[in-house]
Amino acid sequence: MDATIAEQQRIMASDWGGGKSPFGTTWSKFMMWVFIVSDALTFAGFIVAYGFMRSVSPAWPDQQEVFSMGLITFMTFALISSSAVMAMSVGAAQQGNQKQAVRFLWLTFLGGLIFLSSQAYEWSHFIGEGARLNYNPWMPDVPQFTAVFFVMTGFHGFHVFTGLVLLAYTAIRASLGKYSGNGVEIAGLYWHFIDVVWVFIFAFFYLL
Amino acid sequence: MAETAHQATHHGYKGYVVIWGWLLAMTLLALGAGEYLPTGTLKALVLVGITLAKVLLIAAFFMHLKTEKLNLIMITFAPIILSLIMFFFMSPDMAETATRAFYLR
Repeated sequence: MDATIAEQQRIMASDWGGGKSPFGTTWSKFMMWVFIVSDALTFAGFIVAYGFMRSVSPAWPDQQEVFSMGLITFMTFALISSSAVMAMSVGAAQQGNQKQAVRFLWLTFLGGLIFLSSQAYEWSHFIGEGARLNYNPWMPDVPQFTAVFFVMTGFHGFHVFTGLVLLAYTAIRASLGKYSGNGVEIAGLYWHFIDVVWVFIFAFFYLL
Repeated sequence: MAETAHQATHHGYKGYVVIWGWLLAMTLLALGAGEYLPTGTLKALVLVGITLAKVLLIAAFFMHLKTEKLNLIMITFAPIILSLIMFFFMSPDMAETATRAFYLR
């Protein structure tokens, strides 16, 4: 009998054991992870669709000629830097340093705002050159190029926008004294996910 | 006590700054690979390698996956595995479409 109880306790304590907290995290943080995984599947669909279109297209415009790589690199640096500052904000929140956490949250917000403004500039420049969802001025036979650009960067840009709203909401609540270290961590998870998606888009769409 | 927390925070920041530096360096490396390597398998492999290394760093240190339980870590990697499966399942279609496009030119 004792052996059975010991075996049950061993299973419950293992990574797959279940129990009261099978993932060893708060429900709100776990729900953010579930959202991130489901959203990652959406982006995975986009990236695979892009891979399909790219491999069946007879030609593809040279990204170095179409895009301003200086601007794209600057945008990438801004987003990675904001992600690093967000990690520092979570670190400060875990240490109970509310003031520092809020300061880092606003710095993260600034990084995201710089990224989004640069993307708006890139889009307006692109549209000014004649690019449309169904028309590619650099290679009219390959309209997939602009379609992929607008859909992928647009969907990502919308995520950055919602991330900014979430960051502002978290920072304002914290400033009003309704501070929650868990809330900062959840906002951080979402913001890092946005960074991860951009890492894929930067490499596969702009560089490959 | 407050001093200990202050020191611990600074120690934590140092780790984040190091990862930040690595991410920026890898971004520059990817940029160089994109610019100077000829289009082909080598370029694709280098870029995929750098991208996965960056994603691992962000997930492990910024998202603190390193300290999470193994079952949560494995769930988060499902999209990458599923997208690889999706890509390779579509490869016969890609070959067929490319062949048809070649003969219809």
